[in-house]
Amino acid sequence: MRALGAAVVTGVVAWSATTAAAAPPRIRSLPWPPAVLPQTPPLAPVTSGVLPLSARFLGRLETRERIVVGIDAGGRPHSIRVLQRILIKGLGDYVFAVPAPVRAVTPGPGTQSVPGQRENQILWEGFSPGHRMLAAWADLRVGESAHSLPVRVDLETTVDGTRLAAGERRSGKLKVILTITNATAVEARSFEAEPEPVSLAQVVDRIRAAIRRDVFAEGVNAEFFSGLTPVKQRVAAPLQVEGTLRFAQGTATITGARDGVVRFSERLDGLQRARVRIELHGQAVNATAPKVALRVTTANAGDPVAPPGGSSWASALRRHELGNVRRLLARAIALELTYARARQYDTFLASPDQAGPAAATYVYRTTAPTGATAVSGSGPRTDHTLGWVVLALCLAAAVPAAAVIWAHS
Amino acid sequence: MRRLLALLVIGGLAAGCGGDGSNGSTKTLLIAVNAPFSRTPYVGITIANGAELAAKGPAGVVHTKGGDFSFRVKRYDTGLSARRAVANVRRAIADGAVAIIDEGTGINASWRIANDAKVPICVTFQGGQGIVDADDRPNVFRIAPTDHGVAFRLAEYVIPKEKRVALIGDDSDYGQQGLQALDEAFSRNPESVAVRLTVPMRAPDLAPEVLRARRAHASALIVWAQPSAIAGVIAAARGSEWNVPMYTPATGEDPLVRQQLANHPEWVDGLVFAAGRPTAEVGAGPFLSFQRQYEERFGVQLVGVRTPAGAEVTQPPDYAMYSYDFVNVLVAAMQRAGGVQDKEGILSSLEEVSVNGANGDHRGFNESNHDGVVDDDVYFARFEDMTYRPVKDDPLSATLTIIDQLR
Repeated sequence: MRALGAAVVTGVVAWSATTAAAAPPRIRSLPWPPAVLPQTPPLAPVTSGVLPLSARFLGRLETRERIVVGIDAGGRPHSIRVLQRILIKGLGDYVFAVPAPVRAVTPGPGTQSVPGQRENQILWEGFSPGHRMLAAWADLRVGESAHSLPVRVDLETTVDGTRLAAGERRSGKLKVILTITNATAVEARSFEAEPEPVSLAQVVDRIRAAIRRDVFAEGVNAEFFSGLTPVKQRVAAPLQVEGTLRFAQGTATITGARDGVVRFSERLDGLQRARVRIELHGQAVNATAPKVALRVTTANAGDPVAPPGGSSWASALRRHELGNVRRLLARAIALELTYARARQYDTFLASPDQAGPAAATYVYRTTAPTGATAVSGSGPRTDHTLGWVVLALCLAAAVPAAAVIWAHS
Repeated sequence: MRRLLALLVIGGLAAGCGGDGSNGSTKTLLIAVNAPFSRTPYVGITIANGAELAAKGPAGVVHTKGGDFSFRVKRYDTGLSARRAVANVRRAIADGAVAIIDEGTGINASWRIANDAKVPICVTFQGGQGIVDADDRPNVFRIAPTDHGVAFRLAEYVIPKEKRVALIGDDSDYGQQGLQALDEAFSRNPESVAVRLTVPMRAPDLAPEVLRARRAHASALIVWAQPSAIAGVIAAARGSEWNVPMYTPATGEDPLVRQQLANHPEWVDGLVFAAGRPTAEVGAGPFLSFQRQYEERFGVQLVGVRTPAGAEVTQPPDYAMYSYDFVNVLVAAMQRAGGVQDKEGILSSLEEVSVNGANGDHRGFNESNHDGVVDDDVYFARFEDMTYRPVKDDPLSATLTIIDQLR
């Protein structure tokens, strides 16, 4: 009886395998970054109007950005200014708008045209005689921009165990904790599945080639034998963080810190290593809180899917060196999404040419908040409506009350 | 009594709309055109015709939140007098104008009057630097090439070709503002300036001034002046057999220049002027369509001269584009704002809307810039046989198509 049962089971398994082998694999696209990753950055103001006329430009645009973040003594951003440079390499007209929560837009150094400003837009239009540099400084509303910055900075300075307030000076036992956190990590919708080896090898090669050329991979469809099992994929933009923590000369004695300056440089991938924590101990002499200067850029995601002993996965497949295809698929998806997430931070302000080369450098500096920059209004223009409503309500209540008081006086 | 009261209320509401009459359910709004119709008729008439074409054409009846409106265009002659231009603006406001289209004379005083009434003024000819300031003059807009843009484009076009240039302006506001812009444009290349001269606009003979330029060893002349002065400089130079290259701003294409030199058409040959491009990258289609509408309504604008082959020369309505575009931008702003009574809303909406211009260009203003023609849009054209065509040795001009000027 047992033998009969075993035979039946074996027969069913064999039939299933035959059926599965005979069923054609289904074509599915790998997770598409614009669909599974958050939309920001680049910044996209909620109320941003669209340019009523179609954008126009010839050829590919190259974008470079310098994002200058003013932080207070605790590390919180209080001002964000962006110098966006757009290089047009082509002859012809250009008209486009860059959506951004702008408070003010001014011409940047070396610009060959003057930027315009509309509600939540930087406006460019003109004629390129073959080569034209457009540069604008955009002063952004902090409340609508800070959440898209790549790192969070926390700085805590204590003297004799008590926190040192901004501008305050004290002497005693000094302790400084600086924490820089890669804030780019998100959870993206992804899947696991059994891929067909040939199509997988082609897709992985395509992804690697696109990243080498610094463009998005196109045509990332593969064939799958099994259904897709949804999973959450944690994705972050790898960042290179360099900077200094600086005390005013002669106000702090810290071991290893020459002239009161501590230098650091870290690669934060946002997943295995999401933050760097620097703890310093020393002696303060009439010291104020130290100043932080940071330079943050996106780092190369590396090549976690380098083919074994060959130039491509297609050749590895011919040599039967593909290995575990499920694992290779997972690594390829992770690479594709990581690259896409990093590219998002290369355009803090949107590039009119989303497929064009882009790079951004974030510069964080401790600065004193100014009256104007400390305000993080939610709209481009001051609206006094609420004030008028409150005033009207007060008057509505006050007039009858005054009448009653007058009547009884 | 009640009926009388109701009529008074309705009448009051209608008066508040800022128009000057009504036609059934469609109220008529007044657009004033303040221009030198008597002194430089080509400029004045072209501006007014462009506005009228938009008002009776695409702008036609405007549907806004506050109801339907149509436009009426009224002409006020400045005679190139700043004093009269200011008085005209005061009168236009009193007449209930919702917008003023202005040639630019007297604008430094008249804008305040319009600003007090929250009425937008759009300059569609003069390009002086102080005229438009988005911060200090919130109601002043311009759709015309700026002097700054024209002067810098002239400098970048002329300096590589000519060793020493004489900068000549007439004594009109227009000429003096132009000279100022040229000074700035040539300030980085002072060695390129042979001499700087101001000539009287109304002088019958400019030979002495031209002789001074010649004695300064100028190898080219840039003449920033009213059409009559440009014709005077050309006549003085060519009459003395000085075949010096000459460049002008847009006044060089004014028919008056060619009319005054009709007896010597060869003197006009080679004259290069800088102006706002009439066609864009999209091709000549939009402008030709605009020109067809213009000519169907107002007829062909004849220059009054003929080519050597005997063909009549016509003038393309290029400056009419600007007033035409402004009326369309104004309509878009009215529709975006809370209606025609929302004057503040219209002024701020003028900074946020765009339309397709008559030449196919994007046309609009923004919060930091009330100039609707970007400096890049200045092109160069050269006269030959009393007609002009874009030059081929400038990247922008080389992309433009030739507009037919013969009948």
